Amino acid sequence: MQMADHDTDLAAAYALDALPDDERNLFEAHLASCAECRTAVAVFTDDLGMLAERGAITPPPAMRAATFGRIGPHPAAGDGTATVAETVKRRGRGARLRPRTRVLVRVAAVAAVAAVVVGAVVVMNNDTDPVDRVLAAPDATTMPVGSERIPSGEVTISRQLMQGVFRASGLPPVSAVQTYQLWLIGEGGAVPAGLFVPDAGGSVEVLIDGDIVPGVMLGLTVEPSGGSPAPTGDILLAAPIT
Amino acid sequence: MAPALRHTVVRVGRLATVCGRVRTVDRHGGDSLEALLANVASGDPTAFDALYDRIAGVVFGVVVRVVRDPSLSEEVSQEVLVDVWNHASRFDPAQGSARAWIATIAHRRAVDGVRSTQSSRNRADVYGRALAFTTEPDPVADSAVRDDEHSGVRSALDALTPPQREVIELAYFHGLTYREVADRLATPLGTVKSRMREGLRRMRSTLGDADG
Repeated sequence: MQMADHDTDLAAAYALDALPDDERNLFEAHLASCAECRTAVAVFTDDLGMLAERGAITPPPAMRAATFGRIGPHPAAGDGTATVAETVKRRGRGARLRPRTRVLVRVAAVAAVAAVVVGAVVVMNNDTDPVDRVLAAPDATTMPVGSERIPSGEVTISRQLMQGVFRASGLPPVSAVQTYQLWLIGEGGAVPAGLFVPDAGGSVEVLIDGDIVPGVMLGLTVEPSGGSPAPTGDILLAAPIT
Repeated sequence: MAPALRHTVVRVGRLATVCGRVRTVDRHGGDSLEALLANVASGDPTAFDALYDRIAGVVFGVVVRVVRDPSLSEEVSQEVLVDVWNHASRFDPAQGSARAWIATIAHRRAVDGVRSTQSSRNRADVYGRALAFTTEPDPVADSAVRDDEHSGVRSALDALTPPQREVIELAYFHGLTYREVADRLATPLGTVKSRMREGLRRMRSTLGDADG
């Protein structure tokens, strides 16, 4: 589907959650590269946030205890892997997250250590971090991966470790209910290779979740939170990395 | 810059952000929603406690108006709040207010719930129910409508032209897609979409006047 740029009618329908799934995915992919539409969506969602405030209804008192009973260990507190994994599982998106690439958890672990130790040295010297391991590998090689929409990417791979790290800056933010998803594209098609949300500055540094084998390509899309089993958003990036 | 060094710089940047958040813990009473979310993102349960008090009613209000069934609304609202707990770090103040972020999550989950329920039902029956919603004998929904009269939701909607109100009610409160709205009203797709846009714009001026 071709989409007219800066379609504020579509932005309004999107803010109202009135787009069918396929059009929603297309528009979200468009949002990733269109600041004007992101602004339009932000204004409309802010309007609806005001409406929501007006429409607040005191929930049943039992809801508080029930909610607190359901919150697991926080992702930012110690090992939050179970919580994140359960969240993904419950949503049934079929995304697989290997322990070595849980971006949220990795960032969260940094937060937890910082909060407790307040000693950056401990974190920075953590040689067991898989990202550090790839970057420090004797055979590590870095190559630019770019596209019109993702101009700044680069991948560092270690053929020995069969692992790679994707880095990029200036990534457009995704909405609260979206995530970036990496894909490893080989002969068998696109396989999920990890989820990430860029930091507030639009930067990311993440281990690619999957084996880096000769001939494989790296893909990037925007997907609904929790990821997708197969790409549904526009391919923002597809680059050979070996 | 060497990759390793650059990597370290990124890390230090993250730590600085995190430490900044840690300093804001305590005294949640006067904190903004944004500050509370930042503290929730760093794993502070007392911040979530305060956040719940501030936002649970907003979440429940959004969900009830879409889902309507009281026990299902409570279930969906819990899921929304658990989402907020788990994903607070994804909130980006540059992209809008915390209130809008949470309301968006609530509405999306509510609509997803309604659509998955609807797919197993007779669609025509659901449309009929949607159009008859003002007389639907649901106690929670009734109380929601009564609350609307006090809360300003009804007055915000009353500020719209009837065609604008119709498309926004069918989409936002009944979870229909704009294509379904167009089918139901036998109105062109483009017209439905532009009514949605103009309706939201008009609503903003009403809400903005009273919201400060």
